[in-house]
Amino acid sequence: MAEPLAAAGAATRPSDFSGWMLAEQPRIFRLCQRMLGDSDEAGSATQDVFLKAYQAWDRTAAELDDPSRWVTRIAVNTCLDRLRSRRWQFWRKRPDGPDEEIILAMAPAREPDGEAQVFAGQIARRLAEALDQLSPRQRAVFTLRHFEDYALEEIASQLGLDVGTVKAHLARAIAKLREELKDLYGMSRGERS
Amino acid sequence: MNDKLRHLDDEQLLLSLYGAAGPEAAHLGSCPECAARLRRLEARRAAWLAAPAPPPNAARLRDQRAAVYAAIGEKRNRPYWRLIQAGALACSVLAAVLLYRPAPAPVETASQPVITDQELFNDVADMMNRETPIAAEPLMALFAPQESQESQQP
Ligand SMILES: [Zn+2]
Repeated sequence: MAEPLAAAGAATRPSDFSGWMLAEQPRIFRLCQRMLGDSDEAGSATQDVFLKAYQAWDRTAAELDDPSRWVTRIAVNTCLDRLRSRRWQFWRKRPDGPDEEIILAMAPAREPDGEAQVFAGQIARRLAEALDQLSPRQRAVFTLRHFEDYALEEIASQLGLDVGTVKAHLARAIAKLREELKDLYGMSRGERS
Repeated sequence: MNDKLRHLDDEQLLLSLYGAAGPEAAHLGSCPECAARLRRLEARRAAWLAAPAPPPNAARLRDQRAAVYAAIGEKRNRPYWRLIQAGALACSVLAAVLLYRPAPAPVETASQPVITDQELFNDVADMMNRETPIAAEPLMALFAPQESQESQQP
């Protein structure tokens, strides 16, 4: 429903912006959660994203054929900035447990049987830690591909990279995650020794 | 050549799943076993993607919006603040100039701002006492009523 800003007196953009934010916010918040692994920080990032979007709304919105794509890009860049700045932090809050379902996709040779369920809590924690081991770009690529199901070309466009680089980041991310989590699932059944 | 005979390992299979596999993925075309592994993986992933994610906490989202609107309100207010600050600065500079000179020029006195120090300080005090920036007030009222339902999109 139409929300807020119309009352603030500014001409045309407000009501558009409010309704648009209302519709996009859950998706953007979830994206930030997955990128950052921490709900509080994701909330703060989401606020940044929509404030930036608002500031650019007048001069940008009219030319946008895909505002969702545009705000996704703002969100990805905002989260990348935050991930990079973490390197300078001495402490970090414990990440929330992300989706342990991911471990199932990381372990194609295994069925999601009882064993996986028993250790679901441990898996979530371990996965959060493993995701923290990725570089900001690797994490961004992996998040957009795995969680958001973006095409590689779209990820390349969002991050300003070429597709080959995106593939390389994705491959490194997967290798690193599997290495970090290898004790949680059976190792490769491939013949590669 | 050798790749034709060697099954894909899990990592190669995952890269195939994500569309990022290298040339070794050609093996899938000639190996029903690996192709079946990939199909199982694709089915599991498709089911996972299709399952609706739990919607984020509505109160949390509302707080985020409130913070955005408050920040927008503050930004809108800033020109007013700058005007006041500029006015205050102009007054003090002018006062300094006037005090420094033994005989102030009549031209300068005529150009003094219409706002007096007392009015300025009252304005500032008034604004300082406000919990909410003026421009944000119309917005804040909108957060009080019930939350409109928020459906999430996949
Ligand atoms: Zn095979």
